[in-house]
Amino acid sequence: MVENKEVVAQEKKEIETKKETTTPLKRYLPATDIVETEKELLVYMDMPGVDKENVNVKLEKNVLEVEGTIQSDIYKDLKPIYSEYNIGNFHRQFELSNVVDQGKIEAKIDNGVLTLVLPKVPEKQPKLIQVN
Amino acid sequence: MAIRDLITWNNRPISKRENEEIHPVERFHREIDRMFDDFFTDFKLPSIFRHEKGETFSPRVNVSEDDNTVDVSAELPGLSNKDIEVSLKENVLTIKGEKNVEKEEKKKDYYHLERSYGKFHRAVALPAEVEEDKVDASFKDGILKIRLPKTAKAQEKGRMIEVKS
Repeated sequence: MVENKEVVAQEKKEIETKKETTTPLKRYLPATDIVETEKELLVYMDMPGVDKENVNVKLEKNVLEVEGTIQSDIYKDLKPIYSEYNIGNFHRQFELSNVVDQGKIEAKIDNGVLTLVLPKVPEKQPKLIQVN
Repeated sequence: MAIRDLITWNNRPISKRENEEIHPVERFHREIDRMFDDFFTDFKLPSIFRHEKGETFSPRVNVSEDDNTVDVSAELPGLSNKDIEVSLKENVLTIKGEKNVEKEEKKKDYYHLERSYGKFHRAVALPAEVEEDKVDASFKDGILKIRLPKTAKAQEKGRMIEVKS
């Protein structure tokens, strides 16, 4: 997995959806890294332009849904000369397995990166058995 | 790495807005400009020539202007203002820095790896002459914004020339 690491700045992936939306903005899939440690799963999502007030993390029926809204009005008066990236909101969802302790999920956003900490349920964590 | 990614000068679709509003000739002109720009700033060697440690990426930029200023912005999530170096020389703006893997992340199992890491470097030729000492750069929520005031000369509007019969 690590060997295949993509080193080129990737183009943002637009979500192709038939769902009707009320905003004229495009929706993008945030680039995401997921890593596992003994005790937890860590999810890092790139959401440039999204601050603490504009990110929603929702858990419903084992599906974790992340939605980030950007402030598009700051771009309103700008006349683009050339644009290599487009702006839009972010949306992505994940289905959680029963490994995750759903009551203890934590989220923080810092410099445009959302970090989700999904602790594993204690039964699924590796245990050391004491030898008497 | 997919072969498509090596062809860096060819994989940028023109945004929809440009398609709609700009005259085809003008658009072609811009594409050519961009092609040259990309060729010199974006050109990367195939991975076999690259040392693992020297992995780089080139952030995408948006350039816009109004009568008095040129604005350059780039999405650099996960960095702080200390990681970014912005310089201006001969009307070419250079953005560089390094993005490191989250500290705790190194020894773990990866399931998904989509974000870019490593050194980055990008040079942008500015569309107008700017006041070099009045440039203002800010970094918030992963977006770098640079405001460059145009020089008085660059702000002058083109003069209308009377066509005599």
